[in-house]
Amino acid sequence: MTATLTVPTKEQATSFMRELGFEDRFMGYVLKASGQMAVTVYTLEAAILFLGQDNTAYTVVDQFPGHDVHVAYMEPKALVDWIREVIGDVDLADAIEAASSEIPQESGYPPQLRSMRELMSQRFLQYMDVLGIGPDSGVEGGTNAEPTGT
Amino acid sequence: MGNGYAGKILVVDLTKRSTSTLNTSDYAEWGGGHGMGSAVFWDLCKDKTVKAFDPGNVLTVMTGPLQGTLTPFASGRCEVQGIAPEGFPIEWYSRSGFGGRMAGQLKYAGWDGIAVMGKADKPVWIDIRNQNVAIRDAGPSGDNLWGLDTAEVEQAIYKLVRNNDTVNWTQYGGSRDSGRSTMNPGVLSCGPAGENLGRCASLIHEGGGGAGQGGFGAVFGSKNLKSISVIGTGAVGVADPKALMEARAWAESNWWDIDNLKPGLPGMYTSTPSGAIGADPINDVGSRDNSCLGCYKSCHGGHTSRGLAPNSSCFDSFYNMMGPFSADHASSDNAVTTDRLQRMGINAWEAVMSIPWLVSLFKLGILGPGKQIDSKLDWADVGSEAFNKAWLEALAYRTDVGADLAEGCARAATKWGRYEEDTTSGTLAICAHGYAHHYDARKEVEWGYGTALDGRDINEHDIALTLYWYTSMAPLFGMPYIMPAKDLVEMIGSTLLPYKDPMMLDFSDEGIYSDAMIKFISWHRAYNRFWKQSAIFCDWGVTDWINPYTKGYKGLTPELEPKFFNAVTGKNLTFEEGMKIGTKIWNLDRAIFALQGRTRDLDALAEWQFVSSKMAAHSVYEVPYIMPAFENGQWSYKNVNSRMLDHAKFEDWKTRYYTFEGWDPKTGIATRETLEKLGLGKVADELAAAKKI
Amino acid sequence: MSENEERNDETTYSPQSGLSRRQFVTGVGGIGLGVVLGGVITGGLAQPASAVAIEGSEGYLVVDGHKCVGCDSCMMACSLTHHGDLSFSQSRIQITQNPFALYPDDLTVAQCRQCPFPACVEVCPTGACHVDAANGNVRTVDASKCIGCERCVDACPFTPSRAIWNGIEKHAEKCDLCADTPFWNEKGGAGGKQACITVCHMKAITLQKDVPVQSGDVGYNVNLRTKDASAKLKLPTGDDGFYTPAEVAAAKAAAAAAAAAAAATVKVGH
Repeated sequence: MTATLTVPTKEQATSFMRELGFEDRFMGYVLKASGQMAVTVYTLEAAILFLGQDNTAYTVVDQFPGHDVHVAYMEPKALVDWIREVIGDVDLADAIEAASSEIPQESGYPPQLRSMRELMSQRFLQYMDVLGIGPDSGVEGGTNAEPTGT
Repeated sequence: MGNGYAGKILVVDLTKRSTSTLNTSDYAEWGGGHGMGSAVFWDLCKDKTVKAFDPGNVLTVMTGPLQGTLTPFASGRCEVQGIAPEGFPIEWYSRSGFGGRMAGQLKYAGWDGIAVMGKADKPVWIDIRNQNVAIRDAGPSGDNLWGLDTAEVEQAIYKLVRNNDTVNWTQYGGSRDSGRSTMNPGVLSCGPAGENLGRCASLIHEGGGGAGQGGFGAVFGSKNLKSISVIGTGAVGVADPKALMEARAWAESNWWDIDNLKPGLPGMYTSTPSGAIGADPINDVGSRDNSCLGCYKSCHGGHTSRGLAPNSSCFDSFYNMMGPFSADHASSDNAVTTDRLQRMGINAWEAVMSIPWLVSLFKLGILGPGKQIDSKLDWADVGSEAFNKAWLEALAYRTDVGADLAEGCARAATKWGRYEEDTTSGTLAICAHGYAHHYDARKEVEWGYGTALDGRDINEHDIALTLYWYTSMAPLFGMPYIMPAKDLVEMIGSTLLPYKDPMMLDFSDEGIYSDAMIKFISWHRAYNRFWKQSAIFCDWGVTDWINPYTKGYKGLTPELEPKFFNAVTGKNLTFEEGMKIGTKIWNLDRAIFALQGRTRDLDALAEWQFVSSKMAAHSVYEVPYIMPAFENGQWSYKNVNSRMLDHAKFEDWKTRYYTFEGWDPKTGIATRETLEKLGLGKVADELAAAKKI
Repeated sequence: MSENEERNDETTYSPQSGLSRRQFVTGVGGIGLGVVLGGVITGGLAQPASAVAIEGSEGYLVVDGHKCVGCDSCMMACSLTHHGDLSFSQSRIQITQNPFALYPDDLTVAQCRQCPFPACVEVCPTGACHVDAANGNVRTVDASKCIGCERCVDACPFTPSRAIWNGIEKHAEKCDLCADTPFWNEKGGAGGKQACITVCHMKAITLQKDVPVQSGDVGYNVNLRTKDASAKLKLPTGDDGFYTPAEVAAAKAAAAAAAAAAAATVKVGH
């Protein structure tokens, strides 16, 4: 079952990219050889970057779990709820939930993470597209995004 | 033949600029390492209430019989102890270990350890060449070492000791037979952070082998001591060389085979070489892994063609800076920042773990340019190389907000009036005694309780590797467990001599307050105090509880430790007898805490660990933390991630624990009867004189 | 032999060639036969009747200096099995390392090469340093005959000298391929085991029977990283100790994949 991602309006995209206040922050955990560490994110973009650092796709974990395993853990249900209720992008939340439901539980976290990250990334690129933001724009938080014309 | 000991402990009085020796045999009952260091500290530090930076503080750098002897996990280890500036609110006497090649040099020079007391009137370094000890001028009028970073000073000392020729055999002493070596000296140094009395300053050896926790780098700084260098050309005798070679062959046969590398287990990352930090084919042309002396684990980082962060591993890598705040989080930057951290001589743990708290204060508008806590660092740019550089320099040189944070987070938070609030909410995630949260005290209580009872973050990974990492990572990666929980706890439980009780590994909500957990904590303190910190076996080698390379995954503990110990020393020490020595050492350390002012209310954990902390709109501590739990008559692997501790239950547990150890439940201090049974009558006398018992 | 023939013959030592004796001894390869005449090495194949032929060793330690992790276990094992105690200064193999030097210059494995023309044997006035025919022709020191003149130490053409002075037991010594290891239950020598090889978990030392190429280091410092798990451990597997072009390409591809996975390319505030 796949959910549909309708193209957001400019206002929606701006809102979804906004920087949140302290009370609305979300937390992920880095699970690394040296221990676990909480990482706080205040934007959807930061969450995507955080998940992007996970290297379980190209660390041969089941063969030889090494020192360089870097698991970027965000509790899937909590992340979906945050996207739905705090960020406000209901479509994205639904899409992630739908995709996750098709991943067998036994395959563990990495396929879930990749699925979430892929959808979030594509959606974020959609926001940028809608707002006419190029990839090299150095705009803070995207809230006052100006089209760069590139 | 010998018994592994060199025979003498060097005592350096920097005030008097004099040296003397102690006979190691007078301290043999303590084994070596930390135990011996505590006993030497007890004798040499007359007033144990002195502050860490007082000249009366005695810092010891100790080895034991196994160092320099081919014993894996042990050969390369040193233990540092003394009154530690990092402790809060009291500078609890503490310890820190490091690996590399220094332990071997000390032993071959004829020393089991060094005790440094007093304070030099000007910067100095201690130059040990076999039995020749010189206190040399490290200032501008002398060897000009003060002010250098830890890499610069070590390289400078190589040249000084080897007369600028680091290629040929270097002759020591004036005669043909006085000794030669091709080795560089073993060097231990403080960096700028230690010179500036940063409470989280580390001591660095070989670029990355570091005694990190405790702030002993600042103890060096407070004594005007820049470095200790030692080169040894002598030999260490062992009781049974053939048995030692056989033990080595046996242990190595139960390890990975580089020609036939079999899969490991998820989460058991420490059974592999660690690799050089930041080494990658894009930024380097090549690299190698590094091992501490005599060890086949190779988890001591490595060397790269960029030469960054040598011998740095694990948390040395400033990994937090690979956070979402930095778009440039490549391993390349990681190596640059780690290199800077090590050169400055700053404890990685404190430097990194304080960042989330400070960013929270920034986001709350409390910290920043012109804010209540004024800081001109670019807190919106945390994680970039520019920020990392500025942050580390602020800590090392006490500039900007580093002026307060060089005192450690706990003291800074106190000064800012934020300690109570932030350690209750968990925004400042201190575990206990001013040391940052590490493994989760609420779940792995052996980490939490051990830390509360000790004087520092215990950093002892026995449970963390097996019953958190392995048990949590297997399902995270969709891999079946190697055996059911019941079998695993029975396998590990059988090693918990003398008790051999699998219930000691029950981390259920009831189990963490149980009498069985009392036994486990008691066992864990004793095992670590003797086998790990005194014998000295590295925390990353033992306990060997789940071994991916043996039949049925059964680890080499408790066979490995006494096998090597006895091959070297010729004693017939059993594992249990070693545990008894561990209990004795634990009691000696607790006595030092008592003299420093420890009472049961200071055997405490920071408040957030007792408070339900739903941090933000949708975040909970929902990280899989799967541990064995015995509930309803059954063992299972259970996710205990949302648990908080309970004050009343913890206090009740403490009372029972104290009673179990033979300590006064009202104070947490050992009774005279207990101390005398352990042969610590003179310790009881000093406690009585101080009206502690 | 004419002068021309002498000059063209690879085995010929000729003052006109500009080679020093030391260079000659190290540079001649492939023959495995040294010729000694009363302490003077001469060249050519036509020898006076009193010439004594030195048989080549039946074993040579060959190492991969790029794989070595510097644990020094080989040094400790060498000392322990030969002497019963542990000292770097009693080890006949030396691992010299400087953690601050740039890889690959951070570490060197200095093993004895069992030279076909052993200068250490040649210069020994008492025959203490000799070729042990009973033990695979290994070049070794009979400590009972050593008079402590250190000519062998000085004569070794390599740095640091492989013939070493043992200041503890007061005699010269050198690698004997563990022919004489009274403190070990294994049988050593060219036909047996070596303690350094046994303890090396990286398998960075091997024993080979054929004489290695003598010129330079290529014969004695080889690539042992292509068939083991070095690639899995993300170590460089090139002959020169560097990452291979394939390894570099794979790393670049992985980095590109990581960047693509992160996807969002707006640099916020940077």
